[in-house]
Amino acid sequence: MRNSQLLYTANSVCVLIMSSVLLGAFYFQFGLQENPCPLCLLQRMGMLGVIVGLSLNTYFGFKSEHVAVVLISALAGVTFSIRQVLLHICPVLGEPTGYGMPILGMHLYSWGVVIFGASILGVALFSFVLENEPPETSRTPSVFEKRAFYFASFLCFANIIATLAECHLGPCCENGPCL
Amino acid sequence: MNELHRSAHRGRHRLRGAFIGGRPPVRESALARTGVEENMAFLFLSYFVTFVLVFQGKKKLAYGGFALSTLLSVMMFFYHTTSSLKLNF
Repeated sequence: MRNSQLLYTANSVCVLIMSSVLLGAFYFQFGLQENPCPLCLLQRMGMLGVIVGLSLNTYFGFKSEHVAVVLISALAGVTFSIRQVLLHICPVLGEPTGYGMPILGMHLYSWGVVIFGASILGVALFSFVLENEPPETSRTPSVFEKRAFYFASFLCFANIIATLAECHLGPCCENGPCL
Repeated sequence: MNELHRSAHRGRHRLRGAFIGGRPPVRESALARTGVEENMAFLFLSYFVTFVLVFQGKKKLAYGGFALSTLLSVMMFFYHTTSSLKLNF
């Protein structure tokens, strides 16, 4: 291995940070009873894509292709977030500003822009210290790395169930499935 | 959601591409005609399958799964912008 274990641990910490954002979204959905909007679900997918890229690092070692996976997902995610920010950026007189409850003064989709931007910045900074592992490298992750990956996979599975319950087999409308 | 939107969704295969709600007809790909990009739960399932492929050490298939998942989520995004259903929020 050309990269130190510390870098792989840092990679898994990033997986946990992205997972904690998804967990926070679940708190809004089930704790505060705020059903996620269609664009919010797409932003979750962008975050899952970022986690897929980081998980590829965990199982196959650091490679530029995995950095590309993170960047593509973060760019798709930030596109979804910016779209939603632009939809709500101009307040309508007499209507509440934004969509959903703000947290620390910003709505979730605005935080989405920050998170995806941070992912792009983070992976760019990572690229300075990483060395490409040889092709066909496969590694055995540590217990911490495995647990971070399992946690993220569980959140992805939980999203399938939650979306199936909310939207059934179709797109998501304002109050659940589009009947 | 009003009745026009509901009926437009029910008959989406029949009405797709028709001039609904003042929107111009949208040309669709073969993948779009299957309707999979409209199923949110399926999109999450495709990401989960990618996770499973990573776990199993199937790197090339994992890349394929990731590419498919991303493509479908981008297609869903464009479906939101053009759909007669109110999905743009």
